[in-house]
Amino acid sequence: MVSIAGYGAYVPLYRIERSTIAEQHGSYPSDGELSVPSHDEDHITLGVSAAKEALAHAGVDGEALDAVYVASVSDPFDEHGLAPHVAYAVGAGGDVRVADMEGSPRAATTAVQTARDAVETGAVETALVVATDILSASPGSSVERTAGAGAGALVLGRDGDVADVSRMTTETTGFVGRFAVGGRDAVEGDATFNREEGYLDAVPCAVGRLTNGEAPVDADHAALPAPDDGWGDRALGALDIGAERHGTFDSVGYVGAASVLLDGIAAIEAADPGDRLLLASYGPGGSDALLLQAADGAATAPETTLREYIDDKEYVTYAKHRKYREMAGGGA
Amino acid sequence: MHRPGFWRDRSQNERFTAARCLECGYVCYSEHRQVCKECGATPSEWEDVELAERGTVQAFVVQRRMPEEFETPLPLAVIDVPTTDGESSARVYGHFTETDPDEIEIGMEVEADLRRLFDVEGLPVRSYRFKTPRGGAGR
Repeated sequence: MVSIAGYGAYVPLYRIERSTIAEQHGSYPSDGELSVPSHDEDHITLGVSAAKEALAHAGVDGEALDAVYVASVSDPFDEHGLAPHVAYAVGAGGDVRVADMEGSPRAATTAVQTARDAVETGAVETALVVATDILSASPGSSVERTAGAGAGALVLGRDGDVADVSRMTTETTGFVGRFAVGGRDAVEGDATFNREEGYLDAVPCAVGRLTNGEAPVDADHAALPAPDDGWGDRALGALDIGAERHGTFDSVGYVGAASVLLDGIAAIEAADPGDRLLLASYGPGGSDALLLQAADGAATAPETTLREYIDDKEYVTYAKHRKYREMAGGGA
Repeated sequence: MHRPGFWRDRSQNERFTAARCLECGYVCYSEHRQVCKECGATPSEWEDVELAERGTVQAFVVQRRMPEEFETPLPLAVIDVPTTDGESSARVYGHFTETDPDEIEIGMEVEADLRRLFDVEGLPVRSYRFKTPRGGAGR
């Protein structure tokens, strides 16, 4: 069975409280905080940091990688690429397969699915999946109150001891709720319509397929990121799943494709060997669901855990948040 | 497009690769290597060695006036960074990032992180900068 051999997260050092942003624009304050990229970070540096954490956790040398797939919804380049540069920086050889998956936060699970299929067929022995995002937000926009930055990475292989990838399913609807035009603020639209017709259609369908729609999915932990933090619990309720939901929305923000890996890593860090974990991505086009079963290696933490990256932080002023965000490519 | 210099230095910049003199074992980082400045071998021959991503500050200065793409005050330090095989170490001259100059001390352990230094015609040039290791809560 295809399994996870290691995982790694990276969250930038800087934070801004949502209330600081609201105060600046005289808008209604909300709880939580957002990660702010440093002035010298970008999609590739974030992705490389998470990837190195995951490779060290897996005990895999970069040279041993056969495939590197990188997902993002905020890559600033049309022609440049992320995966070849992440692959080079972690030490992969010239024969490594690379691909960038973009266009929807779902791209992270597309990357996991592609890696899993490649490992299963034997075409690839060890694959690295990375999701990295610095979401764009202009000053005073509503997305400025949710836009985060971060990266997550998984190493997949055949004899990984962190978790088994038990099953993967998908639901493609074509529904577009939140969307973004290259480099500009995401357009959020009507939240209720997007949740009811989009999220609560695609995610329960994809998750339901894990058990062929028969019994509710038996899961202890769940990661169900969405551009709005309340949606994941509604999906669990609709599916009658009693799993504990883990999220980074309040501590990191919404991070596009990286959210499902960061939330998934939060779930793995909370899991005991034997626990079952449900992950579901969502974005324009639909949802992918993933069922994992934690193994003995889940009890061994990476050198720096997601929790440690979240707790080790430094607050910046609104002005510095703007300046850093613009320098890092999340200015809009 | 990659400018020739940045393309040739890519392994030093993006993989933190140093060079070890085959004559005397001296490890140098990020220098042009026609002559070994330790043993004087000319022409010198070198092998690639990987540097660990942790080092120890030997000396530092704080730059307050720098070109626009650098954030000031910018601490610059001489840092001893061991090779991953633990056999030797390189003396690296590097920038700090995310670090208050008042927190820097000689002898402190620092972590190396890939960062974007500047852009050339819109193409990012990345290399290693140093910072306080992440993971300790409550700064």
